[in-house]
Amino acid sequence: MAAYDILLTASAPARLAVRVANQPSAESTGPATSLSASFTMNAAEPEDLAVFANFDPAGGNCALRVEVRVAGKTISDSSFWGTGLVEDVVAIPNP
Amino acid sequence: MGGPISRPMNRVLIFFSFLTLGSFVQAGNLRVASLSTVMADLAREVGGDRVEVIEIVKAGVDPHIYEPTPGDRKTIAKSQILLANGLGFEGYLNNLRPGLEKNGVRLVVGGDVVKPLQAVCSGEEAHDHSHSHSHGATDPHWWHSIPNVQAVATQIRDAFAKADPEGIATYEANAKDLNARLAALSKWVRLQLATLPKANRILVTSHEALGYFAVDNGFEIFTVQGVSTTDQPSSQNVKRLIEEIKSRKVKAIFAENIENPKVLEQITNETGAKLGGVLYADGLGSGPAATYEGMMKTNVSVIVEALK
Repeated sequence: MAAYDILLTASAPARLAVRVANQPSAESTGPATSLSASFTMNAAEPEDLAVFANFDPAGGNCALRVEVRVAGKTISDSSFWGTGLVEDVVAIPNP
Repeated sequence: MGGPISRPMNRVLIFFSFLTLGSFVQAGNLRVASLSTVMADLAREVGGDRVEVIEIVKAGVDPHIYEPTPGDRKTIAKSQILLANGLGFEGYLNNLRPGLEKNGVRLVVGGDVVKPLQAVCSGEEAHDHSHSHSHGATDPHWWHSIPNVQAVATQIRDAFAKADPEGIATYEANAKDLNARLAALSKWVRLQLATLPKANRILVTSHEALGYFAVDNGFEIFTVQGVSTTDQPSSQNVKRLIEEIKSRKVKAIFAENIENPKVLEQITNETGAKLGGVLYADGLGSGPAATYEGMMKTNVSVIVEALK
């Protein structure tokens, strides 16, 4: 097992959430530009992350950056763009 | 002579004008026959009003055992384009080719533009080899991978544009819209499957039709039969499958819409795994599964509900 630290960074205030199968999800209490969460997962087969950023649709094109770190080392860094609700899945690479 | 046309005569002329116009529109349509329910749906999406799609193989028919009737051959001969899945799915396709050439029917084979997947028979040496497929055969069920469907939608667009150059703008716009919807569908599938723990991503089905889906989405696959519904399961293979299901603590196994689920029911009785529902494996179905998007959403919803 290993602790996976997740950092969501939004280009504008948005309701942020990250979900992992079979674990309580982490969500911002209101519009925010960042959200940190930590999940303990099987290091041999880490679960996928479902990430969500609900921006103000009037705000035009917005970006969500998702960084995944293990023991301080970045193992995945991805960005998603869209208007309004930006949602996608981040697959964490196997070690 | 040159006098004004009476009102009744005017109505008759208008009536015949509509008839003529109707015939013209009918004759102007691109006539497309399809041996694939999935490609028929894509053809309707890409072709819109410019294309008349005739489904030779209809939803609910087992395409592995279908053979074209003389009537089907006549319908195909009157078409401009014939759509087929390829990769060996239509075992009779080579027999149709001389007739297609003779009648100027262009054959569009979806399998020609996808990256083929090698079929992996569960319990390889265990099942009866009186059937036609060989190990190492290609899995022809390419439509269970959305990127493959996007490639085939583009292939259909190009075939329609070649056969009906006046419709290029329509075909390009429709295909662009379809590809955007398929991209959205792909994201929807990923989000739904992200709720499933990876340890639960095991698909046990009647025959090996969901290989492309498994590769795209990180599933392991176990099947009673091989790549065709005509493959015969041996008792040894079923026994081995039961042991695998027990040892892996598989939650559910899945039936298919056009097969007899009796063997699967026997396996559920012996393993305690539940029957997870019915999947559309060999093409489209009816109701919500009558379109490609509907079929994928139905399959994914059934899988997630049963395995979560």
